[in-house]
Amino acid sequence: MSDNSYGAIHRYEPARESTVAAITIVLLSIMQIVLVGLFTFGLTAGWAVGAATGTEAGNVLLGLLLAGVLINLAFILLLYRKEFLPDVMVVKKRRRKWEDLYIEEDDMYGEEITDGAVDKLKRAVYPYYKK
Amino acid sequence: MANSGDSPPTDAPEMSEADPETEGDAGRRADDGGSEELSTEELRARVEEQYDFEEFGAEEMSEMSVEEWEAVFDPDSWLTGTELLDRVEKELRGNVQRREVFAVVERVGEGDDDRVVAYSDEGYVLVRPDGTVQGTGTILRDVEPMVALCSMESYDVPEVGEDAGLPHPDSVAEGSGDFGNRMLQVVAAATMLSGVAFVVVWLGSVVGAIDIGFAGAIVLTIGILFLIVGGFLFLTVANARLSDRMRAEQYRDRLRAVGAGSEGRPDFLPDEAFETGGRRLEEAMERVHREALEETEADGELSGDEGR
Repeated sequence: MSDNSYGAIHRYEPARESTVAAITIVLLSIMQIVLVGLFTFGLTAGWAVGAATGTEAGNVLLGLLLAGVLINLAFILLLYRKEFLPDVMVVKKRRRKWEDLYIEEDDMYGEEITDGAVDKLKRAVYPYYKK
Repeated sequence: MANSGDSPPTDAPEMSEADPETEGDAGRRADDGGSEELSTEELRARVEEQYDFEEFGAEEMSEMSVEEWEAVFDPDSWLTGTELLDRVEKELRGNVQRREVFAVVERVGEGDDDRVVAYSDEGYVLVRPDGTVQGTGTILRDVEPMVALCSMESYDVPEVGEDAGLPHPDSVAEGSGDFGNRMLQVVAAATMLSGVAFVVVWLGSVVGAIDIGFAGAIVLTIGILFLIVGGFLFLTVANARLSDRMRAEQYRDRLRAVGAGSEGRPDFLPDEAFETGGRRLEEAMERVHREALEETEADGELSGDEGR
């Protein structure tokens, strides 16, 4: 037993792996394969320079396909991290931040310049603004 | 390393601790009537004039003398005694069940020796019926605000089952989320395959086998990009699998170290002191942890960046 707790595992919960997430990641993966395949075929077949189609409008289509590939990949990773990785919490040391050194507890919310006028406006406009 | 919480918010219940002696004194004073009670009233009036309780912070708190404090604050406004311990125990068990806190929770002793003890391999905490706290490590930091919360009547403690606690080491699953790993591998493979295809096509255009117009440099760039992305995805999966295995093992080791899921307490804890509770347990736990600390110090300053 020691008192050096940094790095100790505090929580380890298995991944959630819900059915909805599983179905979604399969669909996204299929979509990803289709997009990557189309893009690969299109670029190598010369859509961009009009070698195969006779028009250079394929350039735009290829751009959109590449964007689709990367955005889709982002969503796959998002889903993977959220649903397919175990929930791990490790004890870490909170290092001192500048606000620990230079801000008094009483001043932690700072000072209002406008005497709350902006706050009132926000509350009037936005119904879910903090109470 | 005894530490009774010194951060301002958690202090409140401790300051107002229902020390049986002072409570008795107050009662006697009230019975005596006359001059002394009047002085309490006077003191109260003076304190209320002097301090602005709308803007009451740690600074004001430290300015106050004990008499002033006792004149103004009503000890009955905080829960203490067995009720407090019951609530703290429940709250702690609830937190352990939600895996917010890593500890084994026990209720030890009777009457004056009644204590809530929570210990892990890294620290321990003891809550006394008057709301004061003794302990060390992260568990101490977890429990201090809990005691403050539980001493407030308006706080509803969650209901937890008797068996709420840490999981048995053998029940810790390994390799969860492997379906996601496989899907990610499929995506990585597709990406890498197309990367390879791009590079091959570029090579073909270099030797003149395939004509791709003027897009040779673009095809090569995209090919390399796709190869990098695919490699990154494979790395992600490999890392997830390896770290998952390691983390699960570490967690199991830690669970075994605190004796989770088994009957007995770990060896380093004083078993007989747990039977009696109270003062003896406090001293025993403090000794155990001081010894552990000295031991780690004797092992040398291995972890220099801790700055403690």
